[in-house]
Amino acid sequence: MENIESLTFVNQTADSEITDDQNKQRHSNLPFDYSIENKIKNYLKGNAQLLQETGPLRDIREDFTEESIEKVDTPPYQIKPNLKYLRNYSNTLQSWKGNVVSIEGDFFVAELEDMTAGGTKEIADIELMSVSPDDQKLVQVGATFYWNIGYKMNQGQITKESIIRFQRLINWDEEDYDNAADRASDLFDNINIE
Amino acid sequence: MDSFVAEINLLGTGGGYGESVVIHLGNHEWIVVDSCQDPNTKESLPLVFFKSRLIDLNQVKLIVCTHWHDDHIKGISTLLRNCPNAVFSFARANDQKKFLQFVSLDYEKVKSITSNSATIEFNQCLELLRERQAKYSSADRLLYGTKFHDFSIDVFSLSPSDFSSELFDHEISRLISDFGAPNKRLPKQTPNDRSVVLILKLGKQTVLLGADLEVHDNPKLGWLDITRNSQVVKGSTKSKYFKIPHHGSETGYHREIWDSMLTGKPLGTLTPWNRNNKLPTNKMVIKYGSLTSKLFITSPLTVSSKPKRRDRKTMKIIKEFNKSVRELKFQYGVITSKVDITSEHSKWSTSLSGTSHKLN
Repeated sequence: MENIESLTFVNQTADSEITDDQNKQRHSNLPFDYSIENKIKNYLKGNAQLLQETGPLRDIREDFTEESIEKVDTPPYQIKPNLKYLRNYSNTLQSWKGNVVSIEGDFFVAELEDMTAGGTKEIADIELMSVSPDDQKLVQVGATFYWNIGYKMNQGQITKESIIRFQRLINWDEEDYDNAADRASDLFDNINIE
Repeated sequence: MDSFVAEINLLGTGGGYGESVVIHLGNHEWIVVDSCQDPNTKESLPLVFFKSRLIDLNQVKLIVCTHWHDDHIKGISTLLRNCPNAVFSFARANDQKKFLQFVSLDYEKVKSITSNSATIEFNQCLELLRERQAKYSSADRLLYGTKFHDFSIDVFSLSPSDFSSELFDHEISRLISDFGAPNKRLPKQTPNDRSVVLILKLGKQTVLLGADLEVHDNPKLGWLDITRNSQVVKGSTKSKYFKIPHHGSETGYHREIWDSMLTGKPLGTLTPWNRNNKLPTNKMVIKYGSLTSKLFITSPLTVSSKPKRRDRKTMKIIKEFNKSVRELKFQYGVITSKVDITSEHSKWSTSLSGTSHKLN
């Protein structure tokens, strides 16, 4: 419910920025109306105004052809784009960091660390199908992944989503090895293990 | 605390959050074997135990990390930092420099991507060792010894075996050479063969703490190396207290352990493992129940399969995507066992708190 309210809010914000001399299109999810009828309507309106200023009136509908429609490059509504409205975003309700415990045919068992609220861990059976094809090769015992569940706003549409992404560890270069070797030498020189 | 009373507190959790053994050796001296954390407060449970009993942390003489697994190491660096006189002991590595290089590599690799792994805990302990003494645990090694009123207090490690340390050296070399590859990290489940078993000679009483050591086909590894080769075991009286190894698993059992190291029917204590595979199995509960005079466990064998409590909206959407998500409930229990160390005929007495209970 909370997300639906936030969608309404975004729509209201967008509507308020349509200037008064333009018609508001409240019941459409499209900010611009590119329908043929609308283009004709606006073409006629624009030409009528032009002729009124420059010469005698005549039936401008005779000028109308399909080609001339293409020449109309002014959108019918001058809406100032609202980034909030156009942006796609996710509202994550729950995040976990998971660790693959075992692989059992078409699913794997994972231990989950609660990254949202902390506290106790959880365990789950997760279908391999729910992992993207690119990540499926990374599913192995001990592998780490991140799992987010929540809502997604896409072009004003809200959908529920579950995303699992497996961690890819960085490659090591010579400097990384050197840093670790330096620390090891330092520890070796400075700690006393009998 | 009576100077002549030894006290063994087995701290254990349901849900696989770990275990720890807090021991009064006698004469107000304490040692700790392993550490675990409360997942909600992130506090080190042995440290909480000491604070609740108002025990002077200067009296903690030894902290042993039996092996490098999450359920045995969480909170151990905090514990070590707070116990200024404690010597830190962990399984021996033959090539110390290579070992340090290996743990440093793993540390560099994981410290940027995780906050609380066993690797980080262990490396934080290594940093503390710059100003602290450390001792390797290995077969038949005296880790701590003292005397008072003609009574000797000795803490010996019985493992890992020499052969296990040799294998570990080879494994380190292999892991270091493999290490640069993406997605490679220290395997979380390193063999329990390197787990440190302790025998405590407390005056006239002997105690055996089995850690997670298992029985191996190769007699140079695991329990068989101890039962067949340990000179310390041969020179010790049999134990009346046994912390059963590896959560009472079948792989931690061998007749030779019970025949050569334990009295007829010792007191048995254990912690469960109930994250994924459940330990101990009913079969082993019956087995250990028949071998012990009394058998105690720190928390129930089975855990709830209910989901974690959250707000309704979140619970609903989680259920829509995956019905199997269930909580690993934290259940905490302590088994406290005491004995008078001045007599070999003294009997152990046990009291239970939290979720701990008797199994036989």
